[in-house]
Amino acid sequence: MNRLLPAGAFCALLLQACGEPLVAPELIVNTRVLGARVESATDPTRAWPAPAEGATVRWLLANPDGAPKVGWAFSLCTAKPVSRGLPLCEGSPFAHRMSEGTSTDAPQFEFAVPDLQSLGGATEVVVRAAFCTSGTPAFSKDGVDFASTRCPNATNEPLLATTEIPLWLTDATNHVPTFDAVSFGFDGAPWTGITDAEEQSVDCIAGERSIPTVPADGTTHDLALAIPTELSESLPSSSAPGLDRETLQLSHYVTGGDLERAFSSVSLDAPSAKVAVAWTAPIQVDAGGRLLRFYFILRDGRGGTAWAKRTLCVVP
Amino acid sequence: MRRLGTWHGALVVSALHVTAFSPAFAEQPKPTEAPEAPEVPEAQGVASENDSPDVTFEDDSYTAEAQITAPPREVTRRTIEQQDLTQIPGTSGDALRAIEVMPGVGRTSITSGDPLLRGAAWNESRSYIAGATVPLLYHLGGVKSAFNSRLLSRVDLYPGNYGASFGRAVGGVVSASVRDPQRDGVHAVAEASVLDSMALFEAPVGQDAAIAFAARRSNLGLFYDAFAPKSTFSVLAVPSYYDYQGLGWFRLSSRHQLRTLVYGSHDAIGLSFANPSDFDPALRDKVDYAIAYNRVQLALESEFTPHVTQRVQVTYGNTQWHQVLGGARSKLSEHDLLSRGEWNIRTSEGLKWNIGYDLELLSYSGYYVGSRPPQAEGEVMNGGMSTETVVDAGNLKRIVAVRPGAYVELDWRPISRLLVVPGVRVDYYSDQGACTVDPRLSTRYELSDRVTLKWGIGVYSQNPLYYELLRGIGNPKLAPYHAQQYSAGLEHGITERLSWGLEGFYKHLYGRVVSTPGGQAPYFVNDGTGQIYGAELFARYAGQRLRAWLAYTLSRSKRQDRNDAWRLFESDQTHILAATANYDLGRGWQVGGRFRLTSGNPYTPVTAAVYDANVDVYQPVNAAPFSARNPTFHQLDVRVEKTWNLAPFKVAVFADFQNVYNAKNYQGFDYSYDYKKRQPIAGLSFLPNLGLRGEL
Repeated sequence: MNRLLPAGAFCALLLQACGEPLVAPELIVNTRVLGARVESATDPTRAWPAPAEGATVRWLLANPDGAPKVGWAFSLCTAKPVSRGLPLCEGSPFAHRMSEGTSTDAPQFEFAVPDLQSLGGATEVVVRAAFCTSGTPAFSKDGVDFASTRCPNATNEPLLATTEIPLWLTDATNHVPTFDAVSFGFDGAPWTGITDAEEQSVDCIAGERSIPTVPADGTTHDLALAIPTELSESLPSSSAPGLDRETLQLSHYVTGGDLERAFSSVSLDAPSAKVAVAWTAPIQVDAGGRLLRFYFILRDGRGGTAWAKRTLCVVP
Repeated sequence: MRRLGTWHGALVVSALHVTAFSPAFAEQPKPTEAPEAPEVPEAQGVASENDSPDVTFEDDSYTAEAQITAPPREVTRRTIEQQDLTQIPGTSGDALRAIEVMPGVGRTSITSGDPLLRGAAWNESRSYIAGATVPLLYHLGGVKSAFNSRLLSRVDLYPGNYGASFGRAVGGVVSASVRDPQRDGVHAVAEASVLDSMALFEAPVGQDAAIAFAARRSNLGLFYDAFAPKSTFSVLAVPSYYDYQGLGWFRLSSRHQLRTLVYGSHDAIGLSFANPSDFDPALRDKVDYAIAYNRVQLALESEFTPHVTQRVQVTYGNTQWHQVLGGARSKLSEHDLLSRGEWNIRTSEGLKWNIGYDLELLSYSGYYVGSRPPQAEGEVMNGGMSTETVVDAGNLKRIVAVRPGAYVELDWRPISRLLVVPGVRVDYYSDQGACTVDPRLSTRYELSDRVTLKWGIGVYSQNPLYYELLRGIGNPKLAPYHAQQYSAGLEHGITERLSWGLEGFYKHLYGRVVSTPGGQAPYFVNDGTGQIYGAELFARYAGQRLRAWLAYTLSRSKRQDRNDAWRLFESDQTHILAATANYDLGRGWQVGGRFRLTSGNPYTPVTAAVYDANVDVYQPVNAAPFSARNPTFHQLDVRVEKTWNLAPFKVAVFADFQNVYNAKNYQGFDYSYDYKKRQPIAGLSFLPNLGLRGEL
């Protein structure tokens, strides 16, 4: 018998999994894309738009200071199926949009999914995105091309991103997960979010009450999330046992300090799942204190994405 | 004075090894005090066609038995003899890894032991134990071979242009022969090393039967806790392996011998990750892998007349394999029935017919949910599992493949110095409804008593891997693919102890199984070609105390997938140098060293990366496949063994040091999450394997 996955490759994967990463992916030190959320026009809770239906892709970008100021360009094409690697486009893009200069507004791309005939049998569409902090990315008639897209300032490398969107073609569909029923805790106390506007008025030194405040002493704190079962949808029957519900992937990022890891896996066999992540406060901040942002992104592995943000103050 | 047997003209130039023992000694009760070991006469040498093994002993009480190695019919057959099988430095005493000292054998990675012969991929060469293929050649991806090396009599390596008795491989063949249990008394061996512990027992049963049993278990569990990063994962099952072998030899009559062989192996590893990997969140939850197989074989060897012999064997085996890797799950159950038979008929002094069959009957069932399998060789896999599409191949109902093969090969000696071996092999593949006809020809011409010229040409065919044929993840309409192989060279025995040889080879592969663009239906097609060419230099010294080998291979192996540009074979190694020596210092001391130097394997550089919002990882943008090369690999291994002869016991301690000067031997890169930074990954560091052995 020849092997499907060689034992050696299996060991190599384990070695890869056990190694310390070169750069901590969970720490935001420059402008980054953290996620893309797809909403169908007629039902924003549905992650799979139907042919000829409108849809919106909202992008989550972050930098150490909050929402970055970026220019962007998007294009939409039908997906050429691939089993691994980057999603490819089949033919020319159906739609494209670009920003007018840069803005801190969350980038979003509204489009209409091509009708069944135009899709030509494709079951997914692909959105390609480019973001530049120096202006609107250069754009060609072929849409965002990963090899040639450039920022106005040549020294500013574009952030390139893509998301593949499955289409609603059969009875089965997929809903966007939500954080509405997820409870957050910080060192055992409830941890609520604040709006972007409220964030602007936070004064860490003045004794902020709405968000946790911790000293910059290198102490480790516990972050906790309780995720209810309803967030995980049933999956079509599988040949293998144990694959009848979605396993959620929770990503967590922070703009300062040391987060234990970037990802958590959430299997919702029990009524709710608890996710615990340790975070170590920085040992030094400016005299004015520092507002740190934590981003939590939930993915259902089938195109459904949601995110939430929590903040805290670190004071000297 | 006693004369040994009759020498048949079939043997032309062959190694002769004669061991004699006293039946009286074998039948003695076990002494309470260790007596002096009897002096056992021994003869060894080279016999030629007209020679008789005229070995004589002064004491009539001795009987003797000659083990005669058949002369090569192939262009290239390289043999590792029993006395060297467990003594090659750097192999931890492993016989199958010992082939690495031979030319034409590429360096395998630290996680794979499948032999890479003359630029062929891991799946293009076949390995046999006692004439049957095995589901798993090495434990844990290459740590040690799954069959006890002390039960092997020899390992033959055919890097190319092998004869018609083997088939279904476009590369080469490694054939390990199992020895018979010793019949001169009770023997036992117990050995413990860092890697594993094993015990072996063998004994005669009357005059006409003998048995042997061996078992081995890994010791990794004893040390694992000390090294495992507990914060990263918890251990469900410590990486472990065990294997067992049982041999039986029965003389049914003076002309018929029956051999039984029972063997099996089990490998397992089980981990539970506390959290997903920071690099690849698909590596999460439970990671579980196990493979176990059991085999039983019956082999009948008969000599009907001095000119007609027969060997027939039947092997039944079952294999259970399962794998859980995050959301990827698969389970496979396999039942095999393998049978081979060969009849050797000498019709005249210069002509012998070798007629045989080679049957494989395979049955699979199970399920597979996981990434779409890549092509066996040459798929660029820089990204993580998260970026791979998960497919559900469904429940694999019982799938049966019947592959009968038959061959005819002549040993034709039109003149005394010329041996011509034409042959043809026909194979049928029921799972593909295909038939292949492979003509082969090899020729050896003795230019003088010490110089032989040789050349060969042949067609070789191979069936696709079983999963490449599965509906849902593969293409049931795939056809076997082929190679034309050409080689020519010379062998020169400078003295009886010192010999060397030089060979050139060329292989053309066509109809290779490659994946479709994007890995879409029909997933795999016969649309790949390949070219492999090179030269091999081999020198060997076999003295009383010193045994040494020098092997150098210069080669280039390249492939073309579909209409893409030609690329290097993923394990192409331009230079492969291996120098090995073992020296008997006397007083029970033996030292050995092996130095290897090979070109680094090709790899595919990453030029950029794109964030994939679906899975929250970056996907690499790759440069041309296998367009860069890792640094040169070099490594020195040393083995030291001291044996105390405390008759009837022997006690030995040994130390096998791999990579004694701790060469880094970088074998790829570890990337940051966004592929903007990278650092080289070092190969196996200095690794000592210390052990203790007791023998009776």
